[in-house]
Amino acid sequence: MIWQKQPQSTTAQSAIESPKGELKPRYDVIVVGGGANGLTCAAFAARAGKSVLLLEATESLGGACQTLALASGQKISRAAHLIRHLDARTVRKLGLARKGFRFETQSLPTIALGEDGSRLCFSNSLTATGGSIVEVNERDAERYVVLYRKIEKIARAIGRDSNRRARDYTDKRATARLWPEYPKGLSRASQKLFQELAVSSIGHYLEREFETPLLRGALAFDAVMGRSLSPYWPGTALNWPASLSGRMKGGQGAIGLPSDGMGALPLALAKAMLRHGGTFRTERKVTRLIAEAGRIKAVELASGATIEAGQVVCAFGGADTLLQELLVARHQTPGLFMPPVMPKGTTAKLNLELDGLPASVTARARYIIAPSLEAIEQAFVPSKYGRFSSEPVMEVVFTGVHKGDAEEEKDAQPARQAASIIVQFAPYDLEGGWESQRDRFIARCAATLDRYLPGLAARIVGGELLTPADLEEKLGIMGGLWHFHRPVIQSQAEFDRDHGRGIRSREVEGLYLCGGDRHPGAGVRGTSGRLAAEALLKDAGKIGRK
Amino acid sequence: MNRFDVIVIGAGVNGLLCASYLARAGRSVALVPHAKGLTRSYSSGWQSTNGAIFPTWHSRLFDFGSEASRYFHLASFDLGAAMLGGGVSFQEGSGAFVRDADPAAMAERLMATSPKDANAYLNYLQCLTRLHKPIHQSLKAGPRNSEPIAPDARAFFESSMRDVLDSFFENEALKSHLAQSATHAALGSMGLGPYAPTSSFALLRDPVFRQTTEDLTRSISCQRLERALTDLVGRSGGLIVAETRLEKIIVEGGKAKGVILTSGVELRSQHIVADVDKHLLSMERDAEASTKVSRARGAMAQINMTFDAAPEIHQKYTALAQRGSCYFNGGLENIERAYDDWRRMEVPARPPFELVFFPPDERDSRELSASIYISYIPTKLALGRWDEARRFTLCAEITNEVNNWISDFSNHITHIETVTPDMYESCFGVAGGIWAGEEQGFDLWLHEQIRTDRLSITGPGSRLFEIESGWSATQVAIELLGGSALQGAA
Repeated sequence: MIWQKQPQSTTAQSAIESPKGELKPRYDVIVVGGGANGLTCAAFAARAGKSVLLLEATESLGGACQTLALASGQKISRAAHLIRHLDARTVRKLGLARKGFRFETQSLPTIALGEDGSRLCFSNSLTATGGSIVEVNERDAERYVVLYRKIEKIARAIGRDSNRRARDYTDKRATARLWPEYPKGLSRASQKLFQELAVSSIGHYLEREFETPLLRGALAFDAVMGRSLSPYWPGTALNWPASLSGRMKGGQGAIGLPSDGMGALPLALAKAMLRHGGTFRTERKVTRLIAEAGRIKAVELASGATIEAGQVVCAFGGADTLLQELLVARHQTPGLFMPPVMPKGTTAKLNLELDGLPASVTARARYIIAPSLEAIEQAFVPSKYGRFSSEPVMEVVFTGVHKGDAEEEKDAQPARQAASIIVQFAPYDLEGGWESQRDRFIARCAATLDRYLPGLAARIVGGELLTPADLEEKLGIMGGLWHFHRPVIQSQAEFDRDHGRGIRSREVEGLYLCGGDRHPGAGVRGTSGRLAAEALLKDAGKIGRK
Repeated sequence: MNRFDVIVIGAGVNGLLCASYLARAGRSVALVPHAKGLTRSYSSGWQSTNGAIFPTWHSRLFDFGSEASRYFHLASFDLGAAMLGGGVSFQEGSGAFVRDADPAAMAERLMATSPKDANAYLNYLQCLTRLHKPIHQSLKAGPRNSEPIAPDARAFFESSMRDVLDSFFENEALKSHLAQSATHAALGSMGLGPYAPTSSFALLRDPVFRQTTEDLTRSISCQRLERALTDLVGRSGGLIVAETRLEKIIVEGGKAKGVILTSGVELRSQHIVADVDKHLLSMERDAEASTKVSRARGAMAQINMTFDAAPEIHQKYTALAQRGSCYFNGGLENIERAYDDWRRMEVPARPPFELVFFPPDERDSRELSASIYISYIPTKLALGRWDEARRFTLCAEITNEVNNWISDFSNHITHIETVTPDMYESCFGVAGGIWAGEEQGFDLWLHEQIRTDRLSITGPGSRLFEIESGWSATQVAIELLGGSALQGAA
């Protein structure tokens, strides 16, 4: 075993105390679930003057957005660690920057690590990226530059489109249209490419376009990141532009690294909510949603207490499945509908405490260990049958690495470092159970890390492994599926805008759904929270006028 | 006279169908064979060395489309239509698993082991019945005219077969039976396994529920269909070019203007419809573009056999045939593992397969015969290539497996031959064996949209149309004849 115990101090983020005092018997809006979307929704509703109560089942707010403070004082993102798609309107309108949510950088480069020690660096300068690829393969570099320009156009269109207004079940035109639409504003040529990507697998697509295994592996990794997908499954190709669809200050598709870990985001959101008069309680599990005559009425807590509400927001993933249990007045005739499908996650998180950085870590970057398409496929296959990858693919972010590699900066580096690592693939239901195999999996991860970043394993002094099952238990993420709560390939999700999985509940008036899976696309976004708030405020206005 | 309104390249069933529409509407049509050295089309079946013709799976389970059936009154032709039964699957551990074609009888059978599955089974068929029609109508109507469909239909567009079947059933034998019988050998040719997202769409082809819906035709003999359509084209004045084949498509100014045949004859036309493999077609067009089209990969092998005339054998196998096909899959996980092997271009250790008996009266031959359709058999092998020794090994393994369940099966075989996907390629000109590209998995949804959009391959005005199913043949005909041309004649 690499380390004997968990990091000594595991205070999950500098959490705000749950407000004390009696709860009111009735709130205008009750938000169930305190992740980024729930908090965003609650903050916007409070800002509009509603009395708002947010209920979180676990002991801390944030969901997948948590900060872990290590013994050395290093702060590390416990689950999600990078931001690519955060809803800019939310940040601006709620003044999150003033409330302590800042970025260390909004243009984190990506370094793909090859088996033979070769490296590719993807930065926001296409010229620089091309230059990095030229060193490995000239033809690929040329093709990459040409293709990337086209992909970027699609990414931009997807990004623009996914922030549009809420689509909802109650809108008749929006009920489950079979045919997808292109994102708006695509030229005819871009539409053709969009089509091609939508039906292709990223694996076959990249095999046609590029020769370098490392380039293929790096691009395919982003297309399957966090999901239970094979790079050879159709539809995965569109995940490439979709992963670039966010727009940070660093540019289209740039990657943001939050200061002080991802927990700073829910903290800032909670501050905004409290400032506008909203309140929240942690460790309050909602066990029932009570509806009367097709309209939401109240929520019932595990303690048996009921709290009335004018509007209720379900801000957790997998609401389709959970609602069946929660919703008492479900109108559905049992059996007539397709039963909801709820898959389990296959992505684990490894947080390592290091006593220094190996020489192989040269820059502040996102390191990708996915040397080829075959490597990703080989890591994926065992997970289909309930086993973990013997050579996992990973995304590694080091905290406390300074920007340049100048000597004086290196000296200024703190003695203790930390590595935040997303590891694929580790199934939720591991054959034989996780308990007896955790160490073996950690050893596999460490061995793989050490091969691509030599000297790293020797630096490990502690850490924690969060398997999908742990993520469910500790952070309340249903099914341990923390990247994209949806059994779909993203390409289709991007079409989903018109496909009827909306913000408003189809069955109960006054019930809204804004888990991460309500909005097409992966990543920490807060978009569905904002859209739900917009929808419920609009509806409340209508009721008032009546 | 070398000028036509339309030239149809590829004389398979779909090409014939499109030509029939056009010829019947009074257009001058020439039908040009495409594949090299090809005298028969893929859909007309495999001609065995002893002269018997065995259907490729495609022709047995042909899903022709109701518009075409109605328009040509195909019901009045003798197409050897046969009901598809529920089938029997043979699995280690659970023994022979019988599926009744009658839903109520099947529910009763399931009730004995699990009341939950019995209920779920009826619900499952109800869901398929309710959702299948709007989905198919919407697919046919195209993006602009489709009606909204029920939100829960989305499961078929996003979930894997495993997830959907798991959400309904407990019995593993039932799950794998439903998966395999819904897809038949097509499972492999989708280029997907049952664990892949979107693979659940194939469940909409379930043979039992299809019997209850009038929209889809039953299994028919494609040989007879081909004969019927050839006859139709001829009678309507269409020209069927024989003994020569396509050499080149003439493209002038970005538009397809005609074809040159291997005999040197040049035919000109207003429009060209191509019923050929996409890969081959793009090679005809330009070599550069063809590198962009992913190489199709075959995924099915076939073992054809005839049996001796022992009466008890006839009786036994005819009885089995009435139950439907015999399935061998080893469970859903084994099917997925076979997919893994296929993707690595290896022959799976235990590939799933389907055994179909052909009673003498159902087919044109007088003998009792059978075909075994084996899924996930690669066209090209990672190591070595297909040869007689490898085919023999495959054949021996498969027949041994059947022997375990049907005693004396091998002993009554009088003639047997194995057809691997590479042979389809060389004999039928089907690139990579049976059509199976990565897009096939999506075929059922997005793929069809792409087809619609690609009706004109290189943009409007290119005059080159591509078809690949009975449905798209109909669509192209409608496009060429203008809107409602087909409705009046129906």
